[in-house]
Amino acid sequence: MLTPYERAEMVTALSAIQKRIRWKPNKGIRHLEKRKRMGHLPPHYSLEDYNKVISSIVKDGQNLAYLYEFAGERYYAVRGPFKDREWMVIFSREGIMETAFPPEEMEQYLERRGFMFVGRIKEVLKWSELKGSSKNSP
Amino acid sequence: MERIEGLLEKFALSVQYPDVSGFELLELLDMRSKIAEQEYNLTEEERRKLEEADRCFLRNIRKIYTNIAQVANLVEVREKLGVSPSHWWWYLEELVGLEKAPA
Repeated sequence: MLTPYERAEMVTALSAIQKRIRWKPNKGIRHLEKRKRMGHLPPHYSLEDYNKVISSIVKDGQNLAYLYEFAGERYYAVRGPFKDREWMVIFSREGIMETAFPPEEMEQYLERRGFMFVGRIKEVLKWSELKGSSKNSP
Repeated sequence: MERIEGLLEKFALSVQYPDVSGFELLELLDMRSKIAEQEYNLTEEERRKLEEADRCFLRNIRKIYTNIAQVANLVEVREKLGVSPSHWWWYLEELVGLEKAPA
């Protein structure tokens, strides 16, 4: 159960990543190189193409959103299909990209890493309309 | 169970990218454990390939550890997953410590 502050934070993170895909310096290109070498993305894909894949996943309201907490940091994840595989897009509370990749076995990955299911994206974004979800101090 | 050739290929490629997110690198450790389950089945050539990938893993161990430590506590992860002590690749903090130790 998320507190109103945590709900507001999640809405902010999701809204930020839906608006623009931002990577830490040089990280986007390294992740892209790995995706292509692993055969997850076609060899001709650019970072812009990779970001479009990510955008399509985080903008689909039907896709599932998760929370991951570690050492006081919260990360958010969206799980959704691209082509014939299920992908995970993982990002910080500021909406900065951690990674986007298709785990070998999704259910096992989520369970072993300890991701907590929160809801569908469209449901999470509705929290911004609810009373009490304003961004107060935790 | 996924065939060893595919797993080995993925592991050998993934290990060349130690600077990706710790969320991905944790899957690399899972992958190595799956290979270990079938290690007795490796051909000579596959064994050589695994040794080369393990050497690459060890060369990149500091980066792998740093990136994983940003998103997970390996001691807790090992406990949660019941990792076998023989699966040395899960003991990154100790391997990094060995790397620093005087000869």
